[in-house]
Amino acid sequence: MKQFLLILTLFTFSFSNAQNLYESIPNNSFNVNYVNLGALNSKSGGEDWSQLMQPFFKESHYYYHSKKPILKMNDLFKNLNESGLDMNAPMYVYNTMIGQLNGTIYLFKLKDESKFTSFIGKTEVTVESIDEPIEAVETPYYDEYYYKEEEEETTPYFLKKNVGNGVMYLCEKQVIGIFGDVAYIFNITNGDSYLLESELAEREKNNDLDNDYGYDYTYAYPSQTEGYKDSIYLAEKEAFRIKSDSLLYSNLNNGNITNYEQEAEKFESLDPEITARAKARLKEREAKKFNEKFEEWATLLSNLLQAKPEHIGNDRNFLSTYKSNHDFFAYTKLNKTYLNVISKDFGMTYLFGRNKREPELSEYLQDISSIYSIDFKDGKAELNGVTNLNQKLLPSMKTAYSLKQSKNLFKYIEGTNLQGYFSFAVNSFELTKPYEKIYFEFLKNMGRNTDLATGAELFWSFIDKDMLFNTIGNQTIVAVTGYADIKMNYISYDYDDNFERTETKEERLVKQPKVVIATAINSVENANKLFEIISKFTFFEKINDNLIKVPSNRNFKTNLFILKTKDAIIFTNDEVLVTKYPNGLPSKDQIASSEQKFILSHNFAAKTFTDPILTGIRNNYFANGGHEKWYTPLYNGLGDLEMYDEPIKGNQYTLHAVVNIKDISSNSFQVLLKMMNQLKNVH
Amino acid sequence: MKFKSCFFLSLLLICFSSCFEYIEEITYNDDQSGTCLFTINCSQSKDRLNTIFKLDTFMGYHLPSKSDITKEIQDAYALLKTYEGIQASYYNIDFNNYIGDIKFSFDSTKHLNEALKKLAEHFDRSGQLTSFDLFSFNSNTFKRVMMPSDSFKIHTPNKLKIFGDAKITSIYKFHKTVSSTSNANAKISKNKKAVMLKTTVKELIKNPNTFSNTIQFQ
Repeated sequence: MKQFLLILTLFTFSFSNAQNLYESIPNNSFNVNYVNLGALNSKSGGEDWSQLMQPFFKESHYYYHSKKPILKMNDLFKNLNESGLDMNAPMYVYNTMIGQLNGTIYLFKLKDESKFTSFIGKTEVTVESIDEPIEAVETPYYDEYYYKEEEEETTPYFLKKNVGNGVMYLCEKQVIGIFGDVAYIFNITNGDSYLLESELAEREKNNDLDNDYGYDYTYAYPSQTEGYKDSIYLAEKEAFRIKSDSLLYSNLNNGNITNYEQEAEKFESLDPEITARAKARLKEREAKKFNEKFEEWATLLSNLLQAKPEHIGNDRNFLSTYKSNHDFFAYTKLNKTYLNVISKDFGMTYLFGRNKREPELSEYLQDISSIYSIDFKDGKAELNGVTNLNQKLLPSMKTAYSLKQSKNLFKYIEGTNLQGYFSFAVNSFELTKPYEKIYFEFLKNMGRNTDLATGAELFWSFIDKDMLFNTIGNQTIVAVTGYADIKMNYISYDYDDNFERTETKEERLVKQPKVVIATAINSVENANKLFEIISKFTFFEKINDNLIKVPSNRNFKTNLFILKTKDAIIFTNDEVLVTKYPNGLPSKDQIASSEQKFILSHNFAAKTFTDPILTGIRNNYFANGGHEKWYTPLYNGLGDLEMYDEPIKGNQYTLHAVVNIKDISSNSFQVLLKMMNQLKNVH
Repeated sequence: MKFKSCFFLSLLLICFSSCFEYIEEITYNDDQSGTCLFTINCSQSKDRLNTIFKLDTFMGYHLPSKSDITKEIQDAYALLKTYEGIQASYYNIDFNNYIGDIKFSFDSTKHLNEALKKLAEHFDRSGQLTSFDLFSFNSNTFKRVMMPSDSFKIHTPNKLKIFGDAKITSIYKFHKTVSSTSNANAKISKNKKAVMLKTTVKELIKNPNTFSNTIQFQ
């Protein structure tokens, strides 16, 4: 009856796949990536873009030991057009927790099932019925687990199970389900430490569910931890000992032993058959457990494609992003599932308190989500990031981001050969307020020594926050303003008339980028005090009351200067700026007014100017040639890059990044891919 | 990391530095024994090497660390000491200026050639390096033999660029008086007991004969 109900359930589920793929993604997923395969494929213009997908397929499931998954993601996505996937349908990659299992799920539509299944491991162990035991299970021993080369990995034993109109492949690291034209790959992170329902119940009964380290090696790898030594083994060993001891004494008493140590050693050894039998029993136990485990997984995951009542589409942030039809987006949110997963993966139970089953996160971090989308348009690629803040964090963030960049800094930024800049204006003192609360909560939740948290809080109370956060650093511009000639010493040899050599010191000029870090002074009194203290360091050279030189050394090839002015502190290697223009450059040499306006409009603004950067690198470092292969594709393809944020609106903080390309009539995806493919073989 | 690949990568590092100087200095005694000093000076490129040494990989190659290089030199030095007719004197690696020296004494030119051949075989990754005597010395003539052209696999102009302005210098000192040299670029010292030849690595690769020289004694 039980089997009939299971089959009926599986059969029913297999016919009720979600209408829209995202409807099958549970709302408790903490990371959902959407890849618009159709849009990307058409925008690629035939260029190979499979390589771009590789970062998604980092084989995290290889992490702990060397067992292979059934299907290697890298193999599947090496050539997307040959993967059997429907390239006109979207693909989702999401992280969630189903039952006790956590990991990454790839969800997609299939166009050619046979192509897809050709990637599944060849050495399958097919079991017609799930009740039939697996005949053998490889159990690697301790020294085989670590540092194995890929080619040495062991092929897993796995089950192929027909369910309704679908088929499932199950191994300890991965479950693959194919149901009609929809398939999923679940790369399981914690499959080897999975507790059977019966084991879970036993632990519940013994109140033994919480583990500070979140991972039970004795349970997961009994062979490593001599787990084969069961009660039968111990009894047989004891019997063998009694027998061998008796024989030894008997021989001793009869005077048959001439070399006692040799004989004692012989009698102390254990019959290898006893160990072999114990290990064979372990294999049997593990085989049985594999069967039971896979049976539970099959039930748990057979409805993975079914539309969920609480699916990710119920999240309005996700849904509105989905409807915007992006080429790609990643949606992440801090939720209890995320905390459960990281606590189980990394043993970070201290995040929500010791001996607590349910995660409890600081109210400052609850319900924070972010969405990053990428769209490849004609002439540019856009990346947009939106962070949804909670009401607890929002007031501090709004105050922190109400600060504007200081206009006084522009006069220190040379604009005549500007390569790029990065500007930010954030009230860090204000930002620290929620962070210190979160930090002390973490410390207290660690539970090991609550006095440590109190001690840290006491120490923190003695710190002069005004000096730390309200002196400099809240408004800063970092800029690369061109190249400077830097003198560099080196050793050469001189020869006399008879070719006896002597060592000489020579000097040559090298080009180095000029870097300026200009940070506004928020408190003149604090800044003066800070500068006065710093100038006392013996390895600094005080040039005058406002200028310190950090002489070049082995790590810094150039002299660095720290200049204090009435409104800013400047860190730079540009000697001309600090000696000739300590009060600021003439206005005609300053950063362009259009850039000033751009910087003032945003709390965070960054630009890199591709043409001057590439030309500067070519002229200064490749004057004798050798740049052609990389320079030409980059120079012809890439335009300027810019990043900027928007003022917080509602509860949303938004960040934009734009990669411009020179050919504004072509799609940026195709142009960037072409450029990357050209650059691949530069060496 | 395996010994040979580390040595190869050390050479690669030197090549990346573009501006380096290699000096080969041999001083002969009356009985044809002598001392040999090899110096590699990458001081001109120390800023670039400092940067490169902070990386794990560069241009797709896994880079050896300073301790890897020191170990290889130590091993080479220990190996050299085991060769017949060779008495190793010292080695020095200065990672502040990127200058390395290795100095040893030899009993005869034959022993010197044998030692250099064995070292070359030891470091040859491909196992295809042509074996030959680098020097010959009879009563009236000293020869620095030209490298076989197949010793240099780098022929394309693009790859030659990595050697930048790298220089190579040989100095041979004798107790006899030198009367003439076959290489027009070689200079004879004022006391006529030493010969110096300077060229660039690029030139040597293009024309292996650049460094060959026959020195006649009076």
